[in-house]
Amino acid sequence: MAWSVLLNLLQVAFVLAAAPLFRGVLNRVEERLQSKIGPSVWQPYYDLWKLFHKDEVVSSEATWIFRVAPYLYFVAPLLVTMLIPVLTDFPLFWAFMGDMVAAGFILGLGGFFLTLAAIDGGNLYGPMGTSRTRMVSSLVEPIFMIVFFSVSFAANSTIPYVVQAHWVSSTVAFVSPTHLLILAAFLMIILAETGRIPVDNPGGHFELAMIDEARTLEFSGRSAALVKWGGEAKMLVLSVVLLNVLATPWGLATTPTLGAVAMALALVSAKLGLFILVLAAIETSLAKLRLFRIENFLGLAFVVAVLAMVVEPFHL
Amino acid sequence: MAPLVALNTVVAALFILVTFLLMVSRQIQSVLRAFVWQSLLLALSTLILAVLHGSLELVFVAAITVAAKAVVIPAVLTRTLGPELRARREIASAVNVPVSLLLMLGLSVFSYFLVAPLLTGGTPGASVNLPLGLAALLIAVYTLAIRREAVAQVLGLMAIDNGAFFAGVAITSSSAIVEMAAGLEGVMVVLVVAILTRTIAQRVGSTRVDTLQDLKEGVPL
Repeated sequence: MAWSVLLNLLQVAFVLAAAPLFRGVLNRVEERLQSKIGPSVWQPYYDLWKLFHKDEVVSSEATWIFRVAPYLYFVAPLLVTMLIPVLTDFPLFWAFMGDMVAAGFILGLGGFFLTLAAIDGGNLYGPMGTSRTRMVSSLVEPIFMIVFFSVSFAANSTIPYVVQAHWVSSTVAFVSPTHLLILAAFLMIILAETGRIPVDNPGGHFELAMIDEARTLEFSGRSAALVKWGGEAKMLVLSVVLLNVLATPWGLATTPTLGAVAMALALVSAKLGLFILVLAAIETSLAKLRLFRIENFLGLAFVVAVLAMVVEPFHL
Repeated sequence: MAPLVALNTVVAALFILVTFLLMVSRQIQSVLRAFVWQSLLLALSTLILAVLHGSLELVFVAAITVAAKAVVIPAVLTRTLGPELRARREIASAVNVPVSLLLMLGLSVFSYFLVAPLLTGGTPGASVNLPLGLAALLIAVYTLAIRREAVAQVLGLMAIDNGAFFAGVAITSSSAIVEMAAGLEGVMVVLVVAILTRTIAQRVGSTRVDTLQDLKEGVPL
């Protein structure tokens, strides 16, 4: 059991350590695709280091929410990490504490507090970004729910470890239309939820056009670092759910030995690397949608997710 | 056997996704691109079924599909309607995209429940191709009804054809001659409509259907 707890902590450590690198490599690859040189892949680490060593400025209007929110936002993806298979195939200590719906709620809680804090700070851009983020999230959440329904319909469970085992065990289930449609819908909502390009431009510095970024403008120093790091971890965790649970559920450690875990570490990193290429291809070939076109994009994701559920009983 | 059925299922899932894209795309070029992909997936599914059933005719059908719908029709459209195709404006539709998406979802569910009684005892290919082909057909009919641009309507017309064939190749031992006739007919239809559309575009300056609703005297020639 101690080993199980240790492995669970190792997963959290992996997410914490790799999240900035994931962002850094993604940025670098995208810049390269656009014929630019781009910052070093280690730049997110330098940014975090710099922010942690800066003074913090808090608006005199702000309440305790403003101080607490960055910590909650930072911790949420780490809690989710304990529920999902990051490196190992077999359930770890916390695996049955919550399912994918719980993971969604935990991430939602972090986002909710960040939203409150953005209003709390009294910055003009905060509430604007907040209302936009809420618009996107209120459209994304039903799709998340439908995806979870489809998953539980297909795999008879929403515990990530069980779902992962289901896709590994049966090739017929793996190539069923349900699975593919779930994948497509999930990829689309990841893009929306993490503020990537068809929905939001993560590289933009123009406040009036920001969606996700506008909520974080008011934070400085350590809070800013935590929000930044939490956002990176959230993106990595969602990518890991997509890769390890849904898209490519192979290459995880099947035995609790150090060698198997090290092997899984390498394979999961390779999968993430390939996913970065896919993301970069999507982001460089599409343009940011107009704000009121986002509902079309998410409407498509919704239809795809519902179709996945409808199709399931016909392909047993 | 089983891997081929599985592959066909993957192709079918992609087919219906591309059909959705064909419906929601707002620029004519991306509609055309979606149509080419749809045709290629149709040909791929036909090819898989050909191997499954050991039917040489289906191989011909696949070849004709690729030649007519993925090569000739796009080429004809690009040649006759080049500037119209490359126009970077949005295609107007009578119903907005979110509502259309919900309606399309309803159509897909409807087609599944429509063919459900037919699926018992069918081949594994038919249980995938029949409902999704019918769904694609209905979606294409819907597209045809709500698009307000002639070029997009032509592509919707051809997508109806694709949906019908997607369902058809799985349930009948289709004859290559019939398919060749259908392929040629499709090309001819596209050619005629494209030339007509070009003439209209030159006269009226637009291929939007709603501007053509009533006849007016003194339209500038």
